[in-house]
Order: sequence, then structure tokens, then C-alpha cells
Amino acid sequence: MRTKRCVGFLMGFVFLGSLVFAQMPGERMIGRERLRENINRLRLLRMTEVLALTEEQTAKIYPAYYRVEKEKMELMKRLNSEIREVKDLLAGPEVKKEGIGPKIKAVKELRRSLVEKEQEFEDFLEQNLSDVQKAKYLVFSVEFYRSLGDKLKRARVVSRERGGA
Amino acid sequence: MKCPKYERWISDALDGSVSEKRRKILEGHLAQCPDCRAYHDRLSRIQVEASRPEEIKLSSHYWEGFSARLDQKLRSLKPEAEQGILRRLGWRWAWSGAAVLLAAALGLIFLRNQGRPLENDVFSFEACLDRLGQEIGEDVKLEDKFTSLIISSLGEEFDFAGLEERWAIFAGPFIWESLSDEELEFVEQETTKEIKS
Repeated sequence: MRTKRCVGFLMGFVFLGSLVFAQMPGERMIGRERLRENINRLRLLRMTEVLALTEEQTAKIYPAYYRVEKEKMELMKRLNSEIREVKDLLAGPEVKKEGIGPKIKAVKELRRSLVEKEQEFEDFLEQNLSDVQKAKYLVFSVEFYRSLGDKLKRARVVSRERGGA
Repeated sequence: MKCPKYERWISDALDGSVSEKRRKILEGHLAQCPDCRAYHDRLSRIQVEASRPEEIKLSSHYWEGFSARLDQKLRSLKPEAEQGILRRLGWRWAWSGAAVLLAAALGLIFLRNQGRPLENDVFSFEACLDRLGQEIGEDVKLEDKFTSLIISSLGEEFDFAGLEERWAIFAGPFIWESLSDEELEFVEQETTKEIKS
């Protein structure tokens, strides 16, 4: 019952979170971002279920998760924009050497910031989980990522079949 | 010398660095111990001699060539002195150097691991998304299919909780307490719109 209530609570939060995301001013969610967001929601739902998070834990963890995710999304956008600019610099018959150095530095810096953001959430989670939940979280993470890989394989098979038909 | 403690005190007393209390004890001891008294007299004589250096008369010719001779002497002694220092400090420096190099290497390894690439971390969510992104690449069909699979999995999760409970949670205090100002503002705006319509 407790788990069900938590999942219910979480879904409400996920629902609100998606509305807030959808409100991002002047920005239309592109496919990859939407995909990332959906994977995030799925991860949260499954994590709540597997770790049997209490209402109190959920109330602490979810706002932190959304905050970090929003910051990561911003970093991802900047990273994608920097990579596009690097591509532009490399495009054409002659490589534009000027400006490559700072671009590489910016990309590396953004990537490092992403790693730090991820670690920030992991640390926060660590502080709010019991030892058993921490252990469950490790196993859950590996299995969840593997399940995503399996889904991608399935998607590949289906899209190939449709493409051939 | 049978009295090492008093030997030290005698030396300190001649330097003037012994306390009044010790000086009195020392005087009592010197009155009784002939060895220490002899040692004290010997040291006192040396101190007196040392404080009265004999003036040596040197010719002006000696001082004229003094700087040149000194330079020459120093030049001839320098390599030997350096070698001596190196020999004496050699192993100490080698060990210190090795310790510094080891610390630097460990520091580098630590720093490198801090910013380690995501691809190698099996527990990293970002690494997982990275790999998925790379595998999908520019394949739009694959991306669409994969998205639809994720959405159907999400649907399954929602079915698991049940529609009734999905809305019941808004009655609880936790959801409102955990919302940020930005999120609350948005809910308020949306609610106002709903009421107006």
C-alpha cells in the first residue's frame, strides 16, 4: 500500500514536472530531449517501486532529481550547441584553426559539469537511502540500463522489419 | 667525566644561560667535585683566551693579494665541497625526490579519475544515455520506435498505480511542500486559467 501511495505521489510529481518542462519559454522540445525526459520518468517510477521509497524520501528525492535534471538539460543544450560549432569549424575544405582551442576547452568543461551534476544527485541519494536501499539502487541501475539496451535492440529489429517491408 | 648533567650545566653557566636555581646547585656541586671543578676551570680558561684574540700584524702587501688568493682558493675548493654535500645529501635527496614523484603520480591518477570518461562507468545514467544516443545516431525511425517503447513502458507503470490513486495524491501535504516556487507559480497560473474558462 505504501509503495502504491508513493508511486501515486511520484506520478503526480512527474505529471507536474512534465508540465513545467513543457512550459520552457520559447523552446520546443525536440525528439531527443523528449526521449531523455521519458526515460527519466520511467527511471523514477521504477526506482520508487524497486527501492520502496517512503513518502518522506520521495518528497525529498524528487524535487532534487528534477532540479538536477533541469540543470543537466541546460548543460546538454549548451554542449550540443558547442559540438555543432566544432562541427562547423571542421567543415569545409580548409579547417578553421582559430577558435578550435577554446571550443575544445568549453566542450570538456561542459562534460565535466555534467559528470559533477550526476554525482551531486548520487551523493544526495546516498544521504537519503538506507543501506539496503543503496544496495538495491546499485542493482536497479545496472538492470535498468540493461533493459534500455534491450528496448533499443527490439526497436532496431522492428524498425528494420518495417523498413524492409 | 662522571657527572654529565653538571657538565652540561657548567657549559650553560659559562654561556650565561643557566637559571639562578641551577647556578646555586652547580656552585654547591663544584665545591664538592674535583673533576667538575677542573672541567669548569678548563672551560673558563678557553673562554677567556677565546675572548681575547691576539692582534696579528700583517703587511700591506699581504692584503693587496688577499682577495685574489681567496677567490682562487674558493674556486679550487668549490667542486670538492659540492661533491661532499651531494655525497652527504645524495640518498636523502633521492628518497625525498622519489616521495615527491610518487605523490605527484598519485595526485595525477586521482585527478584523472575525477574527470574519468562517462563511457567506462556502468553505474552512470549519463553514460547510459550517451551510449543510447550514440547507438541511435541520426536514425529517426529507430529513435521513434525506441521512444514509443519507452512510452508504452511508462503506460504500464501508470496502469500499475491505478487512475484513482494518481489524483488522490494531490490531497496529501507532501506534494505541495516539495514543490519549488516556480512550480507552484505555474500550478497557480494553470488553475486560474481553468477557473476563467
